[in-house]
Amino acid sequence: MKGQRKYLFILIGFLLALGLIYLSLTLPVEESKVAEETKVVKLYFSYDQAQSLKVEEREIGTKDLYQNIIEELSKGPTQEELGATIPAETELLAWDLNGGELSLDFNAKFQTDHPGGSAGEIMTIYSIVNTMAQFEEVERVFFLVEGEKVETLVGHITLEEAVLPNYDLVVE
Amino acid sequence: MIVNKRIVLLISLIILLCYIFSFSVIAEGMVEEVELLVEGETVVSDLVVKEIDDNLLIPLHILEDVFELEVEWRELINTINISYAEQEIRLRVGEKQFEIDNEIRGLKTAVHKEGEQIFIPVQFLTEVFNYRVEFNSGNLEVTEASIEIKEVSYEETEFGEKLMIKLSDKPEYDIQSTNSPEQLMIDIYDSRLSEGRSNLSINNGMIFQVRSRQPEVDRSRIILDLYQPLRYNIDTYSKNDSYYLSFKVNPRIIDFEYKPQRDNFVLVATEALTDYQQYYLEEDNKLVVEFADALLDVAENKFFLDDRLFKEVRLSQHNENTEEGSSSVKLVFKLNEEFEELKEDIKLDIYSDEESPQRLVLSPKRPEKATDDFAEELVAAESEQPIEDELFEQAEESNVQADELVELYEVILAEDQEDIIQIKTDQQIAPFIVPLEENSRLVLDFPGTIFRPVKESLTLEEEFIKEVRIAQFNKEITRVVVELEELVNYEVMQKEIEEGYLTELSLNKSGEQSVDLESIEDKIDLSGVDIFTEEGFTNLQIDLDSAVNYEVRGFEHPDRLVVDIMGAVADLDSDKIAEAEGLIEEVRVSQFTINPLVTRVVFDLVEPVAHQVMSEMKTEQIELKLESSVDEDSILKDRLIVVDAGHGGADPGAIGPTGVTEKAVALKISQKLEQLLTESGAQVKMTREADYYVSLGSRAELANRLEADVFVSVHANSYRSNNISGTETYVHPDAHGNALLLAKSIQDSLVQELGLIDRGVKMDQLFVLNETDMPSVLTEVAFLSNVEEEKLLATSEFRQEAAIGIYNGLLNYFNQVFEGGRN
Repeated sequence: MKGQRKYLFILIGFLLALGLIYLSLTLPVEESKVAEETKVVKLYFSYDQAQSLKVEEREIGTKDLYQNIIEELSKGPTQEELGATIPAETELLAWDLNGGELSLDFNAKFQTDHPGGSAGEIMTIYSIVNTMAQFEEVERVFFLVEGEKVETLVGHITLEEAVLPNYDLVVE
Repeated sequence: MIVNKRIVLLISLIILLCYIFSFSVIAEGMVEEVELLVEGETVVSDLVVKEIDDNLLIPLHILEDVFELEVEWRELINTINISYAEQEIRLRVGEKQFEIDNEIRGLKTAVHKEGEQIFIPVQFLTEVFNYRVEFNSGNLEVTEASIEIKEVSYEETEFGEKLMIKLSDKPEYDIQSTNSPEQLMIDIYDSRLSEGRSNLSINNGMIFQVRSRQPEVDRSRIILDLYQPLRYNIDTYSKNDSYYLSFKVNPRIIDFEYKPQRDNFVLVATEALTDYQQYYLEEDNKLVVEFADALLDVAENKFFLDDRLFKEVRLSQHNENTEEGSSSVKLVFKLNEEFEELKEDIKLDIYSDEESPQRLVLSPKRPEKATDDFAEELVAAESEQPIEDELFEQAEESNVQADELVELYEVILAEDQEDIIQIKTDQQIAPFIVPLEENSRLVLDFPGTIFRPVKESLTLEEEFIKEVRIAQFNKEITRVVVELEELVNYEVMQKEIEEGYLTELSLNKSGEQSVDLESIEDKIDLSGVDIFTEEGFTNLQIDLDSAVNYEVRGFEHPDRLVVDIMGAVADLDSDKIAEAEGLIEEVRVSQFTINPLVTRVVFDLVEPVAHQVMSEMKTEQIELKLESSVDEDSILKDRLIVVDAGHGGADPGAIGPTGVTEKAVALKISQKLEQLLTESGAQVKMTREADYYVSLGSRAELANRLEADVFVSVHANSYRSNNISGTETYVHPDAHGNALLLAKSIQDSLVQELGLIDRGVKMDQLFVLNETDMPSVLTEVAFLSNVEEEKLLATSEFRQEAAIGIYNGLLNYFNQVFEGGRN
């Protein structure tokens, strides 16, 4: 009998283990369902001869929100009257949020593929800052390229300090 | 034992700390009960307040309960959000500041939290809502300034531009003005801004912006940031239960046109001009039209007329009573002496244009004698005098006569070839052609013709043909006038076409001679035109393959030097003609006439300059020396200007579609600018002189170390798509006064010089502008990313024009700042 009981315990233990394995397999599936959640986000694109920014709304996955936003911005606008603001191969490598200051670390393409010019640079910087600042947790954006601080992106706007959104550029 | 000792020490330390802490809590936590009165009425009789460091704090809920504000307390981040007049206000526990619309403002003491209770400094009420707060003998009295400023707006209509301040009651106010920065301040006493601080961006060339501020709780201040001193009228009146303070800018006269074809003059103003009077000044033989309370904003103020009656017209500003800001503009017509005795009859009919009331038409009533003479004048041909309806009446009365006339159908430009003017007639007709040297025009008279539309004019894109006018000169002559930049050779050919005959007038532009220059015998060839600049002098040299006779003359409007070379042909490759530099704006070589053979070399000058002929009467090498324009009076003399050529070295800046780099364009324009400035006596320091890398920080540092008067950074713009174009100039967002004036001045003269789209003066946090201590601007001359503008930027002419644009902007700036060039 002792031996049988011992087997029973082993069986129960085995079933439990199976159950756990099953759970551990099914749980990530549930998690990925959660990750597919989206929300409508305002993306600021260039408008009016690159003198203003205008919103295009887009549904964006909330998991890795900031990365997704940069990806969407790099795809450019769908409306013809709007213009793209960041190079197509721009990637967000990392981000950090600290007391309202969102630090964004971009890949080198963000800088090297930029066409230059004050007008172009202003559109790039404020399209990102204004887009990020729509979220309550973001007040200003600090720019990094490949983990390094930069004076400017391509020689005009100062990036030594975090940049506040510029609502004067926005047209409804 | 040692461990025990340590524990005892630690515990006693903690106890000690607790004591100190509790003492400080007691010291801070003076809780009191007071009576809160708003506008003299008791609202709360037992309000719990705190006093910390002599500052009074009130419980947060008062904002909701008494002042009816929307308050949101966010426990997690210890933050209070308040919405007020569309402004978001944010306070944090423990912080001695608050945020209002992205702006941070200080508080004397920090926001305090005690248990669930939050206390905010009473100073907050004053800072944000402009309440007067008084605290004595247990009473906390809160009152508001009695006049509410409801709205500040700027109206631009055809009846003028005015700033409207809407108030709840009749205001008492004061106006002060300052010169640097150029500002007007309207202080309104016992008033508060109901909308809070605000900025109105106006940017109309006079007013940069209007800011509403509250320097004291019961005094509001409306600040006008100006480009230039203003003339204005201020007035208060009431309407629909509100009071208005209306600040009206005097009308500006912005253009004056002389229309010989219509025989009138047109004044264009920012609004309809109504307050004027006309009188005759006996002693000077002048007819004067005086406009009260107006400002003159016309570049050219003196016009010499090709007219029998008037010699010249002059516009001038008169400030009789500068204290009150009143001023008048006088339009003075100087009459020719021979009509002195007719002065009684000479008057101007003055009326405003029905379609655009801002245009005021001044039409002279010519005395009969003057009219007769006038009609005989060749130039008068273009006036309306002889013909119009009268002609048709006559023509219709007598069909015979009309039948005898040849129809002149139309005058057009040959397709693809704008230097050929085609005149279509129904029969063959030979025109008389008269070239008029004085005004560079060709007059073609077609005798025995009728032109049914009576009058027509063609405005051309072609640069050297300014206009073609066709008019029925008299009953049987149609006159075609071709206005040219300068007289050129021409040929007339006639041929039969379907509708009748075609008369072709071909104008021979330089280098496009229909006569084969190669075939001319005994010609002298030009071998080169060179410009050398050294030590403030510009030397010009024209080389020929044998000795020639020549003539050098200087002209004004535009300033230019003309060298006519006898017996020479203008058969010269363009690379043998030097690029314009220094005081030379452009060099042109053309075959002036073929018989006799004369080549004309024209040097367009940036400004009037005296010249000296250095070569012999007959020579193979013509040499001219331009006197440097440096005179003791030059406003630019000894000014220290740092010119910053953008990018360089490893940093190419923007790159155009065909590969033109921003660093190269910026350097070339900067070098041309340096030369222009140096020749006017300025001291110029370049941040880079060739193609090498210079950090942004060291560019600014150079200007700061030298204590430069101004810093000008030269760039070319870029954007991802190539359909964007134009000129823009950047200045620091906090710029005012001189820096703004500098930006506006450079932007305006660049736009004037280059004629590209005006994208205006923009404000942004640009690195070099942030770091420099003096008035600084960064100008983006044109878009390298735009195909057309890249082509322009690649030419030496355009770069010289850009340099001249910036140079003129600097000149205007220094003139306004240091000579007071103010009205």
